Amino acid sequence: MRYIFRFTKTGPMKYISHLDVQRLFRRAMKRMDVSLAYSQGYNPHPKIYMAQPLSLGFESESEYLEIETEMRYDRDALIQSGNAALPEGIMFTAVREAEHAKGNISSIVDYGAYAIQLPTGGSAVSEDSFQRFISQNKIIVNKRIKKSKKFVEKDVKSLIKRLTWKQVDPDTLEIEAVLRAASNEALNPLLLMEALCHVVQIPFPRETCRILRTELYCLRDNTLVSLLDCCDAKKEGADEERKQNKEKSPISAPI
Amino acid sequence: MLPGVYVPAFYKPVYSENGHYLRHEKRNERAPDRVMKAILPDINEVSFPTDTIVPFIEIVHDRAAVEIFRGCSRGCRFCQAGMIYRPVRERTKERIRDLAVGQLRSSGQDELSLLSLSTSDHSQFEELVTALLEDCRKQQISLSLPSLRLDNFSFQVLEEIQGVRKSGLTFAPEAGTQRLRDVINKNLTEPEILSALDQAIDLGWRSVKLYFMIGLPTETDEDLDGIADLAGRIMDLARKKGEKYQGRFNVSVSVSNFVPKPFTPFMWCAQDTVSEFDRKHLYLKERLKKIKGVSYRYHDSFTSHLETVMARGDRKIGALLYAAWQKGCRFDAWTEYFRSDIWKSLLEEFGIGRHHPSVSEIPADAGLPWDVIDCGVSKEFFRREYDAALRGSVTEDCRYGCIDCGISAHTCCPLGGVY
Repeated sequence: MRYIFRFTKTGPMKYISHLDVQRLFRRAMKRMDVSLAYSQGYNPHPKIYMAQPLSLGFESESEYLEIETEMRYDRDALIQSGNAALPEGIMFTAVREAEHAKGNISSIVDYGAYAIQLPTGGSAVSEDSFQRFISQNKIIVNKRIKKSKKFVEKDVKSLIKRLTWKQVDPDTLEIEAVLRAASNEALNPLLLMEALCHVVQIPFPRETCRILRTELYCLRDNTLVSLLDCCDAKKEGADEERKQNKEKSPISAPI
Repeated sequence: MLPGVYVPAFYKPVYSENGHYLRHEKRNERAPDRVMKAILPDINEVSFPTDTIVPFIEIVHDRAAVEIFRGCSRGCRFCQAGMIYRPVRERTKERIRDLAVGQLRSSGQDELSLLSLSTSDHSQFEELVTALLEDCRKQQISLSLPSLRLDNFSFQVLEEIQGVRKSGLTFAPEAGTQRLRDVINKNLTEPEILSALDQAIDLGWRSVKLYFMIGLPTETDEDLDGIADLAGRIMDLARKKGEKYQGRFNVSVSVSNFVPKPFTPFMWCAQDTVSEFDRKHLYLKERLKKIKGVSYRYHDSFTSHLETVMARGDRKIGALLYAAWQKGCRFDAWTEYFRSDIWKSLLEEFGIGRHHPSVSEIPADAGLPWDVIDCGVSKEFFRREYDAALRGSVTEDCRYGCIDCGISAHTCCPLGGVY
């Protein structure tokens, strides 16, 4: 049996890395007495997957975990025993039986939605300058290559699905972004914020910028569908559809 | 007076004119003459944690762990743990299983380790491991067994728990010749090592680690040659068998420096000087580099010297430590932070040279700074063992007959002479 869990990762748990969260879930499943299925081979691994790694320091309302089990479990009981076994800050909020055809949940995720609080250090950011940022022909971010540790410039305009902003007070910009978050291609919102700060000419508050992931989506018929509602109906041809849609990726107008 | 508690203020050390420790004077009449260590006669009775702290971030020893027995009956003469944790007290097989299952259930860990000074020596070892293996297999938990004696049963178990990807195989002969192994009472013979390796190579191990100590009492360069000879003989064996598997074999020789410790038969011994350790390291390096397939590591001589100063020094070492801290010494065990210049100048300032009692031979009748503590094993026993060591005479594992170490005067010694 395969199950998809939606879970939150909030508070101090944001400092626990992706790999440590994976280990945390492995232990939690053992404490819940859930018999996970194991890969065959010399070093069997439990079949447990996460949709999309959440960067260290980001919080989230909607992360997704997929497990494959040896037997069927009652879904309410899974949530209940899960939340008894999980630490404060990580909480199951929903569970579905998964029936997508092939691959695990990390292969069907397309976009992530983020709510970002960007401190501006007291400087007001004008409508115009924001407009100037999103209407550039290319939106360039400085991305560090993991292996060589060198920075390269990359145009990420096509990875931005939606970007809106509002200045809530003189010190803070509230930004909502829907960004590409697929297994082979993703845009880290922090990189985008750095690029934004550069163009609107405010210092980039790397340490104090708060990022909350609000949802993970997959794209169906050019509509964003929550991952929770996707995992039971992956149809043949969906991959094709996504490929076509990717090329459009329009940026919606700011509020 | 609460047993097992040492209150330093109740005792005043008396020093000779040249500042060497002589004896303690009691300053509180209600304090005992010597502080006897507190002993738990039955470790089955006490609670052992099953609800352990489980860090979110990966740590060292990130696994469930159950202590299966305390103490050791082997009597290696350099080993402090083997002396001060006497008598041997075992947890029963049933209790160990309950604790293991409880810890795994509440922590969710996927690895279990058994703790003791010599895992295979538990009197119900085979039944215990067989039962635990069964439990672990069902729940996809891996079992790790440190410090196994390599006999047939151990190999059978290792085969089962390690499968194809073998972890390291480690032997601790501690000394290079049988003569010196007899001196230190390490009852591991060369034929035993070679036959275990023969089996290990057949089962697929391609490397072995050997631990040795240098600077042991009575050691000569012949004993160092013995280290190289043993490594060479293992490589010969591997080469001979190599035709079958056509692979490389690797022997890694790791050498540490002998540190004489209180409450051991060797507590009166001098430690080699730093320059003598350095000479021996290079001597061995020359010998070992001629043997293909052998890698060689050794410990820093000066840190071993400091260890001895701290292990055997008197109360005045406290001031040395404080002074080092004041001068900025921190995280000294990390080589990049180790400030040997500060330590060297402080040793000089405190008058701790090569003739200081903490690092040189201590006369049999001299007072020892740790005499105020009674570890349960008698000083007479330690002296007897030291004399036996100098004669090269071995003392048998005391499960085969009580060797009168003195612990049974204080508590029941359930496994003394059981076989």
